[in-house]
Formats: sequence, C-alpha cells, structure tokens
Amino acid sequence: DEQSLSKLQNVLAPLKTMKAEFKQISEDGRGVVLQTQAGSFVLSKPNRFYWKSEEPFAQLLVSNGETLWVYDEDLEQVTIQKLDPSLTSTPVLLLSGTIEDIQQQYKVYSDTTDGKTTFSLLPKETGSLFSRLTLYVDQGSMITGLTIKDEVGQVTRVEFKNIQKNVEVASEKFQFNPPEGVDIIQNQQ
Amino acid sequence: CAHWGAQPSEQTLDTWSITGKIGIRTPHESVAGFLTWQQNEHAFDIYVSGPLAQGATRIIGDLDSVTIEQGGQTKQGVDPQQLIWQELGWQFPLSNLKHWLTGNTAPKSKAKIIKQGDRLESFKQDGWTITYLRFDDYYHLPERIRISQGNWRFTIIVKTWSV
Repeated sequence: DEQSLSKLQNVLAPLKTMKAEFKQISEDGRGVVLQTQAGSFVLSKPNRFYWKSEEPFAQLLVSNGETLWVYDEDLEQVTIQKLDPSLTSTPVLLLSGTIEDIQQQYKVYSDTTDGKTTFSLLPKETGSLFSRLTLYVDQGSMITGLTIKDEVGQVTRVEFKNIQKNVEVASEKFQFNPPEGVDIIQNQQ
Repeated sequence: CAHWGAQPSEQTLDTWSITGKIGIRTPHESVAGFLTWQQNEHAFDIYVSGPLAQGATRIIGDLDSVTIEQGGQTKQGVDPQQLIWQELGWQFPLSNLKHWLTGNTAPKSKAKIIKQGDRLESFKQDGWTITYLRFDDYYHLPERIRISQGNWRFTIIVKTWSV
C-alpha cells in the first residue's frame, strides 16, 4: 500500500552504498537445509555490486550496472552477461535498485512493531521466481536481512552483519578483469 | 588396446552424497552453480542453485519417477532423463552419472577405456567422454570430473564426499 511504499522509500533512498557480511541458508518446504553460503558484499546504487561468496565454496559476482560477471574459481570459468533486469528478484539487486523498480514489480506491505519494520514484497506478475520476499529493517532503519520464499516452499534466508552504510567505494571495485587462463563464456541472456 | 567394460573397483558405491560445484555448458547457455547430490541406491536428490540462490533447481526421484522443482513450479514424470531434457534443456545422462561420479564406468553398456593409471582416468561411454582430472586423497574418489559430448560439457567439482 502507499504508506508502506513510502516507508520503504525512506529506508532505501538514503542508502547510496552498503557494505556487509552475509550468511545465506536455503531450505526446502520441509525445513531440510539444501545449501548454505557465507561471504561479504559491497553495493552501490544503481545496480552495481561486488558479491563474494566464500563458504563453503568460492564464487564472485560483480556488476557495474550493465555487465554481470560470475567468476567461479573452482570451475576456472567466468560467465559474462548483460545485467538482466528480471534478476531484480535477487536480494542484492533489490537493495541496489531504485524505488521505482520496486514499485513497478512488487506490491509492498509493511508492519512495524517496537521500532522494527518488516516489509513484504509480493511480485505483481505471476511466474516470478519467488512468491514472497521479506525485508527486515531495524530501529536505525538498517536492513538486517531478508527471506525469499517460492511457491514450492523453498526458503532462502539471508542475514547481514557488520553493516556499513554509505561508505566510499571506488568504482573499480565493480569492474572485473578475468585472471589468466580462465574460461571466458559470453552468455546471451 | 581398449579394455571393454573394465571395472576399476569391485565394490560399487551406491549410497553416497557430495557437495560441490557444477558447470553446465550447452550450445545455448552456460550455468555455473552449487551442487548437492544425494544418491541412495536408485533414489537421487539433486540440488543445483545459481549464484544468488535464484534459479535453484531440485531434481528428486528414482528409476521410474522424477520430480523437478524450479522457479516455484513442480513438474513430475516417469523418465528422469527425459523430463530433465524437456524441462531444463539439459542432456543429463543421469543413470550413468551415478556411476561416473564415483569413478566407475556404468554397468549396462560398453565403456572404452582411454587412460588407466592406478585409477581409471578417462573413458568413453554412450557417446560421452569422461575424464577424472583430480582425485581426493582420502577416499580416492573423483574430485574434478569433466563429462563432455560435442559442445555439451559438464564440469563437476566435488568439495565434500560422504560415503
């Protein structure tokens, strides 16, 4: 509803850059853990980010707003593709996107209890990758985590730690130069 | 000379699980993601997730039934390999992979051994070429596996074996 959207705007608008560590757990509908990941990220609006997964496996995602690099050390491969707007259903692009992107794609609801706000984002179109995305914001209007749920009941929970807001980030951070001898794959999508 | 159907290890593993990475290169796309594969006799539970947990795919089933969960949708079928091809567009030699991943040729068809050190290192079977690039030093099970046919290529990196 309108009021929730403006509340979300108040949280996202002042956020120019964000730096944090993350821990991500994916579970199936019965609570069986499918996957865990941990690492750190830096993001800078609009749509620029450096998302480094370290545990249990290394994987690096870098976007300069137009191009997305997915570098996988184990596979010795980097996939390069145009940044796909439909990827906005992924956490990092939501955080680094604009309120217009969000308003265009999601219905936004919110609930505030003792200073903490939970935003529920429901995709407007059907067939989106998930059925509900929930953002958790603390009293200092800092995003502390989010969960993504899909129709089949798979849930991915992402928690942020050591969060730094609006720190200075050099733009080279969002440019990736593939190391020597790595398979470079251009993806058309 | 080629040894037909050589079986490097007598005891064939049929209950195991791995976590690791999978790279799938097809003529039209390249997918790189995290892989969890649990095999229990004929039953399998395979989970492949994209980098940001988007596009996660789960394939559960056994010899004659399969369920694929992806993007919030569930598809069911009786022929796992056929449904995987139809739904995911992957030529995924599932029934052979169960054996190939543990460093063995598949029992039901001929295998042409290309390279055999103290362990089977490379062979051809059912049109696919399977190469073991690295073995883990505890179980001596494959840790880096390349499976290819034409411009289809699977690279599987095993980070943890549990047997």
